[in-house]
Amino acid sequence: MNRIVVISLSLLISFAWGIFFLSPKNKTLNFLKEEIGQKQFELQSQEEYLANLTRTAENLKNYQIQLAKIDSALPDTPELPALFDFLQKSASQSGLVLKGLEATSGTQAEEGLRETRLNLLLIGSYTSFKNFLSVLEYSSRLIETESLTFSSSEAGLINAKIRIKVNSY
Amino acid sequence: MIEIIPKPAQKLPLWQNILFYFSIAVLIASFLSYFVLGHFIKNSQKTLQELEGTLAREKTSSQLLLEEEVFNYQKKIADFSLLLRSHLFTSKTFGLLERNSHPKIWFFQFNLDSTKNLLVLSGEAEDFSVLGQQLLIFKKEPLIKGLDLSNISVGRKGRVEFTLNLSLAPQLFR
Repeated sequence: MNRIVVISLSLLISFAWGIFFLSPKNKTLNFLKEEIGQKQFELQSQEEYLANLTRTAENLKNYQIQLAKIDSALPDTPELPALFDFLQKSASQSGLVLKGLEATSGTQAEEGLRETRLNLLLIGSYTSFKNFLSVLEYSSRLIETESLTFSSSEAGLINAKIRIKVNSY
Repeated sequence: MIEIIPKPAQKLPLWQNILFYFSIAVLIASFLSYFVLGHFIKNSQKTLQELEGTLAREKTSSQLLLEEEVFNYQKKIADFSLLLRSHLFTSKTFGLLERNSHPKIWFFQFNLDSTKNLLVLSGEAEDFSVLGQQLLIFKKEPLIKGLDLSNISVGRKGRVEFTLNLSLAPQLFR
């Protein structure tokens, strides 16, 4: 056979083979490579996320005291008996008499926080009352004094009514 | 006339030889490439399958627990920071009153709403002049934003009874 014919046929077949068989295969391979790259990125992100999570959990262990304070300020339940006990002891240590104590039902505030309000009726001197308020303000339970009403008598004693708010989950 | 002596075979040009071998090589290479690409595709599909399997694998219980613990504390810290920033120191009102009370004034009723920054004081003054001085003292205090006098009456022993509505600056409680 004439060599020119062989050359022409070879090049023609190669060209047709490339168009109809190699090119689709190459496209498939490129698509797969892209998919692999994407999945590898996802896997890497997932691994980094888990590593960060582990690191954060480890870091949290170094702040146990601070976290305990946060737990105390924001307990999982209102923990009213413990709070009542604290209020009674604080009032007594400040020199006040706790005449009455009632809790209103908790309301669900924004972002899952539950607000519980308590009304306190107290009798004592002005100084004792000031001390008691300071104790409430600096307590680890993060007590908010929303309102306070008191009237004083000429004997120097005051009758006070305080509304406080505590938060829990 | 019949030629007895055979002619030497005609030599092909060099370019034709090169092109001939080149075209054959291209043909073989293209056939081989088909199989090589097939092999790579098979390998890539296997790798992809493995990666998808790893990604689809569910988190272990310890990972879930870790995640819950961290997110729980993250929320608690955020909530705590928010509450701490808005924490009110109501007892500072007493300091304000102690600094600004006239010695001849006696406050017998005190109503504070720290959420609205409002303080209502009911008191007794020796006379109107003392009450006027008290109002001036309160007006000079930058932490008192508004002042409203009401319910003025002359009570027992000629003393002046009054009610004061004070609007307090929010920074007083911070």
